[in-house]
Parts: sequence; structure tokens; C-alpha cells
Amino acid sequence: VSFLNPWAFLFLLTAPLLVLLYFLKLRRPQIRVPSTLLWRKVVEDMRVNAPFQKLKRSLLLLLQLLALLAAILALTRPLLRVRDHAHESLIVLLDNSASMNAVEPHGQTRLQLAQAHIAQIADNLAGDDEMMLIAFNAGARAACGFTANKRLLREAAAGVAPTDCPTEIEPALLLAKSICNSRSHPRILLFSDGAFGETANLELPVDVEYQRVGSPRPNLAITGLDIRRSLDDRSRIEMFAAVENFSDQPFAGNMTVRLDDDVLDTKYFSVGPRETLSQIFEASLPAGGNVEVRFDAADALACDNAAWKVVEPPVRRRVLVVGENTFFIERVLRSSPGVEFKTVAAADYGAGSANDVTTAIWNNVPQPALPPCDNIYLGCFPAVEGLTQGGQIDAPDILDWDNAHPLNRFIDYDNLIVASTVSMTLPPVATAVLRSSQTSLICVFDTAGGSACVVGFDPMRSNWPLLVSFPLFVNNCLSFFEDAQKRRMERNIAVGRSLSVPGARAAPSIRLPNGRTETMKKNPNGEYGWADVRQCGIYRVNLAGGQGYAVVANLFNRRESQLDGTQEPAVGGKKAKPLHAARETNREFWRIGVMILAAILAIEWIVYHRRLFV
Amino acid sequence: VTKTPQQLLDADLIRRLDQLALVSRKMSTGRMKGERRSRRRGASTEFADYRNYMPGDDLRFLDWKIYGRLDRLFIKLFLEEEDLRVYLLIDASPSMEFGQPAKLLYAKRLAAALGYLCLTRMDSLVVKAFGDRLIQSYGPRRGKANSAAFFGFLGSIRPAETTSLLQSFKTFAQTNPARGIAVVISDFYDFDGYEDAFRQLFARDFEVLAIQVLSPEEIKPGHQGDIRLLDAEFSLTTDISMGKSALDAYARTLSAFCGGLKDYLGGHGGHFLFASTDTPFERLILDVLRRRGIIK
Repeated sequence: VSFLNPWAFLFLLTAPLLVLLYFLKLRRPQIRVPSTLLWRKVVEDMRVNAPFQKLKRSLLLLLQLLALLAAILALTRPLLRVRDHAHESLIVLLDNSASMNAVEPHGQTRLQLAQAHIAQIADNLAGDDEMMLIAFNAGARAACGFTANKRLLREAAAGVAPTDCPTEIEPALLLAKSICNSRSHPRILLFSDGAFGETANLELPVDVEYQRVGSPRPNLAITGLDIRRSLDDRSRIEMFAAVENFSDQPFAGNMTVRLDDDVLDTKYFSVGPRETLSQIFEASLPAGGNVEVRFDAADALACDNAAWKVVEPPVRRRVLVVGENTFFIERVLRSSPGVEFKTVAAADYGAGSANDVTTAIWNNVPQPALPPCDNIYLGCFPAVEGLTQGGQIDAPDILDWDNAHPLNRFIDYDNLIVASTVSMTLPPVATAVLRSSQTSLICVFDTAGGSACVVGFDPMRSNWPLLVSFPLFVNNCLSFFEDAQKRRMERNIAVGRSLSVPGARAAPSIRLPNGRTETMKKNPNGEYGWADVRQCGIYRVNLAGGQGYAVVANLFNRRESQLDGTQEPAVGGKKAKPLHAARETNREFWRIGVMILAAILAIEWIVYHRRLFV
Repeated sequence: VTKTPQQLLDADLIRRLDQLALVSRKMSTGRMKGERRSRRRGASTEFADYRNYMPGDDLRFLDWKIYGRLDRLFIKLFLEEEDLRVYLLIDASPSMEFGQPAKLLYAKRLAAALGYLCLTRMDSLVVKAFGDRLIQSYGPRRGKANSAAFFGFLGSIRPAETTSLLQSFKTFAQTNPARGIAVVISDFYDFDGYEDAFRQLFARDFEVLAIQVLSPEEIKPGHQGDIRLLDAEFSLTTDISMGKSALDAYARTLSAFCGGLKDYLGGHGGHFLFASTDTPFERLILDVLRRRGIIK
């Protein structure tokens, strides 16, 4: 309770005056009687026979004091935070992403805690309130439409299944926003652990009320897994696993590599607080297979303790080198295992030159072509929308490179000296993997027929061909292109994405990581697919002809794995406000004071006249 | 206000009063020969008793018939007929001025009627007006010839300051040793009570007749609301919230007060009469007083 006009309490000082006036009293009409002898006896008798006579007098004083208090109360204009009894529409957003599977100290997952809380809210719904439930992870879906049926709401909350998906809150907010516009007194209640980062500046009609679920928990996660065939021996694979510790406590354990349930290798590892460990495995794998890497450290979240990768059988790479002075390139390709190449001059390149070629390397060719394969452009630029070259830049410094990018694997550019390069403007889809302070030096992007890597400077006008990073770069390009090809085939996908089987004529079946087998349905593009990739693991697609292949889904999401609760969520550009038990509003209730005053005066009038006539 | 006899008593009532007399239930001793039997033995024709002859007794009163039968001398005693001493004590306190008509006027008329009876029947009439003491006095007088002076005295009675029954009756009893009928006309409002006052009269063997005169406003007050009552005689006030309960309580108290007075007097051989000033005066005299045996 607060008061708009607290100064009115000063009127309390008049209370003693009222008491004084009361006792000084009413001016009674004076009536002369022959004698008061009998009247005195009457008064005495009445006092004796009516023990409440004094109380009656006191009651009047009490009523007058109460009336004064009621008047002062009204003058102070009191405010009360009261529940707004307007018909409310509660839109509950429930996060069922991967991080919500984190186990809390008492054994329940965050999702279970949120479900219990939502059930409680459903139980406490007022009679005219309605509630709906939206479950969101990588996407959003309505788990229950608006209803006042508490049983339905409880069941809907309990029925929201856990997923291993990353969190995308914007679809849920957009859905809630569209619903808000058609409802009176909407409220958006968000139940999440906050692992959704910043959201775009969505203009929501109401503030989002946020209930953080869970407490900071220690977690160790595999945040990256890459497998490639050895450059020396294509029958062997090299595995690169990034293990990140998101807590302040060290972890240690064994990391095991399995190929279709057969253990390939096991290594002991330990990782310090807030450290990232790169674990490398090598194994012989002449054919393809599904590789699983898993560690056995006990942490709060299980789904990021393993990663999967589909390894294709080794393929022969056919490379076409176009241009002059390709000595260093040919030397690199010649030393690369599994690579067949041929060289043509730029003038000899024709429309059919790139047939059956997996990769074309364009060495300082003016106006190079963009054949439907992977391309590497050295000191030249293809005609791609958004990619433009500017003026020449002499002696660009090497400022930065993305050492997490597969193209830069094992590469150190510190010793690279470039005589000159041209300024490069990148298309929006391109990623710069090497930058100088003036311009990007190397970028990579996808094209209609494959991938393209553009080196902005002529390697022959640098010391790069003499450095070890050059052959590594070329081989990284070839491996990256090979992986990109595989990515396009959707054999390794992120959990939460949909899976499609292009070209399938009959409905394939799919065996999920939990062992259940389902039949695929056609997606809006007319392809058979599976939209519910919500668990990490291996999905086996069985085509109608008896053939099949595996698709693996991984989390690889640092935000989901980071369970230490340091993220402060902001929704719609504003910090989410805490969850209120109910919609509240300030209500002035001075009228109640006036009503009390009137009631007291009426009672006083009755009491006064009862004294006269009763 | 001086009242003429015609104002206090109308001619018709006076004519009818000529046929009546005040009843005394006690035989009293008067000062003069009158028409009332006395305790004294005298020369009337009314036989009273016998006693043995003593030398020196008047031989005319020897009962010769008994001497003839018993051979013993007895003297026949006869009742003396003497006058009756009637005292009218009129309360002239301020409380008697209330009412419409005023209680004091009603008391004067009552006294006038009773006094006229006495004068007519050759009784000795003494009239005292009292407040906190005896303030005015008349008599003793006897004979109808004094009625005009008597009425004139009644008319001259002025209200006193306060009431003290005890003080007034005590003085009266001390200064009037001749016993008789003491008719007290008052409202008997005395904070010191009436018991001690009447005890003074009973102690001197007065035959007491108390006539309580109250006005209708006193018997059934019509006040309402929170009021302050001012005592007419004393500077006393009483705050009261006048309602049904208070009025009921007053009625009970008044009834107890009158009943207590009646019981007290009855217990001591006295008489009590309640008179409301709205009772027609003629009816009170000719009907009520006769039925109560106060006059005949």
C-alpha cells in the first residue's frame, strides 16, 4: 500500500481534538423540572441496570474516531497493488531445448522443473483466465491452444518432450506476438534457462515475464568434431575433437572412439576449468562408417558428451589446374595422396575441360570461369555477384586468420609475406579466412556447383609457395571441398534441422536414435524428409530398394552447453522482467474510505437514536 | 397571587362543603368545647366509663342503680366534647409552582376546601406554609366567620426558596404541642427524604394525612433526546438521554416513590392521598376524599 497524499496523515493530529470536543460535549437543551430527585434515581438505576451505558457513550466516540480515520484514509489517496481481474490470456513459452535437459542437483531436469511450475500456474488460473502453451527449441509449436481447462493445460505441459535442439526463441516470440494482437490482456510468460542469447528487436505488445529455470551447473561438451582421411594414407582417418569445459572445475575421463559399435580407440583426457581441449585420434578406416566420439565424464548435460560423424569411403580427387607458372601447385598436388590432376593453359580451357573434374585451380587467370565444381582462384576473381576487386594494395600485413576454419587447419601465416594484392569486396555469403588490415586476403563461399575459395593475391608475388602453409592450404581446400560436398548431401547435420532425401521415389523409413522406426513424409518441397531431428545421434534412412545410409545429428552449440547461468537474457531488445504471480495494477481506494465513512456515520446515527428511542 | 374565595372555591362547592366534615379517626384533646369527642372525660351525654368513687367527687355523677345492686359507689364518666385542631401544612417550595395549573394553586384550593370544612364545623384551624422552614402561618381560628381571612391567607402564600420537610415539620411539632390532624399538602420532593420529617409528627401523636400533589407533566414527562435537567430548588443538574427506557425507568421510580410514601404513612397510622392536578377539583373533594373517608 502506498499513498498519493501522505500529508493527509497530519489530520491525525485532530483526533485528540475530537476526543476533547466529545467530552466537552454536546450542548444539551436545558429543561427546568420541579426536582431532579427522581431523575437522579432514574439515572442511577439506568447505570446499574445498563452496564453498557458507558460503552454506548464510548461506542459513539469510537465511531467518531473511526469516521475521522476513514476520512483521513480517503484524503491520503491510498494505492494498492491489486490483482487485475480483467480476463487474462496467458501465453506460456516453454523452452525444451538441449540445455533444458541439464540435471539439477535434486535429480530433476530443468524442463521438469519448468513443467511443474507451469502446472502450478495452470492450477492457479482465475475463473475467466485462459492459457496457452508454446514449446520452443529450434522452432516453435503450440502445445496447447487457449483454454481454461486446467487438466488439459497440465497434461500439455507434461507432454512437452525434451529435445537436443538448440534454442531459437524468435519463432516463439513471433508466434506469441501474433496471438497477442487478437487477445485482450495478454501476458507472455517465458520459462527458460536463458540459453538463447540476445533476440532481435521484436516489438512485442507486452513485456515478457521471464522465469529463469535451473541453477548454474558444471558441464563438459564436445563442441566440434572433424574427421578427414589422412593425407598420407587415404585408408586412415584423422579425428579432431574439441572438448570444452564450461565450468570452474576440472574434468578428467576417457574418450572413446567407436565405429558402428566397435571401439577404435580410447584415450584418457583431462581438461582444466574454462579450458578447451583438442583431442586427436587416428584410426584405420579403409571403408566408410559412422564414427562416434564419447567421453565418460560426469556432468550435468548428457547430449553434448558425444558426437557423431559419417565417414565416407575414400574418393579419388580429380583436379584441373588452369594457368601458367603452376609449378608449385603441381608439386603440391603431386605429393597429395589420392589426387589426380592435369594442367591446361588458360587459352586452352574450353567448355568441356572441367567435365569429370572435382576441383579446378585457377592460377592468375584473367576472367576465370566458374565451372560446376569446386574452384580455387589464386590471384584472380570469378564473376560472382557481390565479389569485386578494387585497387592494388602493396605489402599488405597479415592481420588475422580464422584458425577454427577447416581451411586454416595446421596453418600458421606468420611467415607469409605478400608483395601486393588487390582490394576485395566479399559477397554476403563469403567467409574471410585470412585478413590484412586493409582487405580480406582469402575468402570462401558456396556457389551453384560447389564451393569456391578466392586468394586475392598472386602466390607467385609472395613467399607463400616456399612456405609449408601453402601445400597445407591446398590440401585443406581439397578436404574442405570434399566435406562441403558431404554437407550438401546432409549426412552430418545439426540437431534441430530437418532431414530430406532428395530423389526418393517411395517413402523411406527412418530409424531414430532412440530405436524407433518411422516412415518419412513429403515436405513442402515435394521431397521425402524428416522434420523432427530433435535428438543427437545416428538416423538411419532406409530407402525403398533396400539401400540406405546414415545421417548423424550433433549439437555443437556452445550456448546450449554453457550451463553456468552467466547469460543474461534480453527479449525484444529489453531485459525480461521477473514473473509476476498475477497481473497487477495500482488501484486507488479512497472511495472505499468514503464508503466506510458513510457507513460509520450511518451506524453512529443509528446508535445515537437507539439511545433516544429504545 | 391573592385569590378570592370565589377564585379558590366556587359558590356551589362552598355550599356543598357546608354539609361535610373532616373525619378524625383519633379522639384528640382540644382546647375549647367543640363538636368533637375528646379523650378527656367531661360533661357530655356520651358515656365513657366507670371508676370508684373517691371523696370529693361530684355526687351528681354517682350511679345509684349500681349502688343499689352492688352496694358499692361508682362514678359514671362521660366523654368531653371538644373542638378538633386541624393543621394544614402547605408546601410552598419552588417545586410546587410547576404544572398547569400550578401545583401550589391546586394545593391552596385543596387547603381552602379542607380549611373551610374545619371552620364550618367549629374546628380549630391552623395553616402553615413551609419551604425549607415554616414561612407563613395562620390561626388558630374557628368559626365560619374566619373563612374570608383564611382564604386571604391562602392567597398570600408566596413560594419559598427550597424544601426541607424535616426542618419544617420539626419546627411545627415543637411549636404546636396540641395534637390534631396534620394535613400535609406537598409533592414531597426532598433530597433528605420524608421519613425523618414525618417521624416528628408521629412522635407527637398527630394524625397525619399526606396529600401528594403532582402535575401531569411530572407523572408522564414528554421530554426527548439528550437533555440537561435543572433542579428548580437547588443548583443541581442531571444529564440524561431521554428515551423510552429512561421514561419507563422514571415511571417505575415515581411509582416506587409514591408507593413508598403511602406504605410509610400506612405503617405509622397515617393516610395518603395522591392527587394529580388534572383531576377536576370538585371530583377530588366530593368524590375521592369522601370515598377515601377523609371527609364525610
